[in-house]
Amino acid sequence: MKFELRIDRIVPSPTIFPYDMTYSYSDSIREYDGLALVTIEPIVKDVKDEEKTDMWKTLFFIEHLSGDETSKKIVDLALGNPEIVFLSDEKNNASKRMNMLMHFNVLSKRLSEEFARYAEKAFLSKYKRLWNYNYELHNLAFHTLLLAESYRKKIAYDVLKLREKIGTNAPIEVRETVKDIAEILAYAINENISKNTTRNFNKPDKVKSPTVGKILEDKLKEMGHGKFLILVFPQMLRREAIKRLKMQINTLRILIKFIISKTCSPISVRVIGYDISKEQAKHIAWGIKCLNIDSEVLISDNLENLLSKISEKIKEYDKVIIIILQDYNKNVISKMMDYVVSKTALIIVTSEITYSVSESYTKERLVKAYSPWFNEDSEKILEKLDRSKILIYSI
Amino acid sequence: MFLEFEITDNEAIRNFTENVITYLSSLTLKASFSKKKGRGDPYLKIAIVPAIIDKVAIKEIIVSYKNIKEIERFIDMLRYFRFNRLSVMSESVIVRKFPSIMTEVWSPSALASAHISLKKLLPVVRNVVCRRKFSFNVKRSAEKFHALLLASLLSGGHRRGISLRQLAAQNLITLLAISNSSDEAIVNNVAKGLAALAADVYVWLPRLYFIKRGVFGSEIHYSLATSDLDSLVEYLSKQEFIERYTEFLEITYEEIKNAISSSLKDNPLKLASEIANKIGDCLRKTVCFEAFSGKRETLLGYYRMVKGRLEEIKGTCSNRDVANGKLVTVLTEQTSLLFIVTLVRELKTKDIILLYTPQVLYERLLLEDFVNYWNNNVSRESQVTVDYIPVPALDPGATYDFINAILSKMNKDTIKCIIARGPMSLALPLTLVAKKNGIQEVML
Repeated sequence: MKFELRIDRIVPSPTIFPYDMTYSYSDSIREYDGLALVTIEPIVKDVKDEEKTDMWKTLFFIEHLSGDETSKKIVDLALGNPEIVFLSDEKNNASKRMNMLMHFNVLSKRLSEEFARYAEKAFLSKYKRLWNYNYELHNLAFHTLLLAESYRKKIAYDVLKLREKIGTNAPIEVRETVKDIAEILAYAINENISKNTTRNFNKPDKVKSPTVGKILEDKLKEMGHGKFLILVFPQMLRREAIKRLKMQINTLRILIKFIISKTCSPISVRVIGYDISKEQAKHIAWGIKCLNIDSEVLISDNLENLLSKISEKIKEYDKVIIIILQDYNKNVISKMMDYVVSKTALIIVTSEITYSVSESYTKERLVKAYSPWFNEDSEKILEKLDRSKILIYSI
Repeated sequence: MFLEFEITDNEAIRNFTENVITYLSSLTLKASFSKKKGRGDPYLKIAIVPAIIDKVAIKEIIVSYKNIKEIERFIDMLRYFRFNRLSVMSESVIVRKFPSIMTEVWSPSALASAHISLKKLLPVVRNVVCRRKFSFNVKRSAEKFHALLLASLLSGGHRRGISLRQLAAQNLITLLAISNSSDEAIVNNVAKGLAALAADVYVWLPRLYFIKRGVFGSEIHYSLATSDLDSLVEYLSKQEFIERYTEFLEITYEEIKNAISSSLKDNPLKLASEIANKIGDCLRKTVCFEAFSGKRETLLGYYRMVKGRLEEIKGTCSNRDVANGKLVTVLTEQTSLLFIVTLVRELKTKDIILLYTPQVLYERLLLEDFVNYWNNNVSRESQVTVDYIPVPALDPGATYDFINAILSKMNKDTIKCIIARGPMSLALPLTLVAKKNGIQEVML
């Protein structure tokens, strides 16, 4: 029996980041040049083979060889699991230098042609939009390909379950992200989830997601005019983390400057310090003094005392904006939510780190872990950030 | 002081070695060893001996074996994991093998000299004190728990290594709830395992920090329940490290054993909370008093907090007939079988939806293994169904979209309670969506 191999889709530059190092702005453990989703079908030749028409789906990473990438191959050997097809490049003599098994064959040549087509800008734009919205779940899908088969299946079924649980009213980015990773993992476990979904993905998408700046501006307009209180809850840092403290101050400056520019109302800021984060709160309050606004700290060693201070302060204002920088004591946040329920309030949660997608595919890595809050001008950064990067919620 | 795992049952040896390899490979390998028996009675002993080479803390793993098929492959894999980028295994572990029963060398008094005779090519290990041994007699049906214990003791001082130690400690406590609690051997094994993990976290990891700062160091810094890691490291570097390790291990073992014996073994939550207190007391007594504030405890401290807020959680969840609906919560690095058992026993829940982020991929897979074990070993009334749903966490806006999309499609009446926990980017959206849909929630 003969088989036909059909390349359904190529995912450009799947980059795998280590999970336990995410918060350290870590580099990826491996960036492949592509991920090929393929279907293998038997070509029926005689009567005996007629019943054997099952096709199966599989996938493998693609690596375009160049001469100076020996270290990558060592990583591949150490990772063990993923199947890799190496593409030949007649311009260099990499094949001679690499002292390992490579698949320079018909498949490699066919993939080379397809790969060039998929690297076109129009195709990449859809991935860029999806990955800008959230790359984390794609990282989960790519990371899953490194797992042992039985564990890979478990994660694949989780994603298929997620696909069932997402309603049709969910934002388009959510539906497309889940659909895409479900499809990748369905290939990984040879499962048919739907017919001919892959080809549609190749069409570039023109839907543009609103930015953080636009959404925040709309929400502030809805709040109207009045006396604004901004309560700041910074994630507790250890003493030595000066760099992260600077980043917290920078994040706050960017957000407060934006709020001032859009509200034109009197604004007071109170930075909340609890237990060992009291000193940190003082530093942050001092760091935003340059904005020439009323900024103080609310600090206490005692939880009840701190909550009563917050409650008293909230009563003095019409409008409250709560900014949570990454994380905070959940007890405090939970109680504080009860105090603001009768007010016009806005909750903003920022994240210190995210994945960004590069504009230029050829010159640098397509995806990298970074913090958007370093050395950026306020208007620029908020106007550029995808709405998914910050949670903005009106109460 | 050294730790020793001893197994003499063929099936237990196979399951144990397979699980150790799977856990150490970060689940990238599902190891499978031969079911065939060797010619005589099988015998496997694995010793973990802490030592210092120059100023560097290392662990020596000595594997002694007889009549076991494919044991050489197991040892080769252990050695390979030191250099595999995805493996959790610490680089400061040296694996050596003894292809026979070496009773006379295995005695504690002689083990130090055995080390020296073994190392032909590796540096001479000094400062090995083996006055006593902690022996784990691994029996069939408990090998999964011991495999996780061994894997966590061999893992490094990084986020996943610390998480693995937490899971191992918490799962050991649930082992008491599953097993016959009057079995003295199980009680001893659990107490020894918890003491070994505590010594590993509070003496071993800070000693690693002495040479391993930077990114890995910061993980140790954030994870350890010390108020001042630097003073602890300085203290340990000036002291006789192995003696501090031994002293702490012995005292903690006695305290934990007494805590288990005092009729708490059938209440895992209370026991976890009590042991967290005991570990804190022992640390202040024996290691560096100034370094430990006593407010947090790495291995089981989370359950002290859960116990402290149990009435509030019960007030929110139990009144809503949780037994006949679903409970939604978050899978974090600290979510072990102990957390699931707490929900089952205290809230009477039988159907849980666990939202997890990609950061806890391995914890999610490990949890399912242990939940399946629980369901296979307890009565029908105590069994639980868990649904695992991945959601993102680094982009809080996207997290909200996902949680809203999932919960909005579900029948609101079937969700009886939400316990919002984990990172704020996940816990807060969960709370907000719960409030929007009129579902009872509590932030933990």
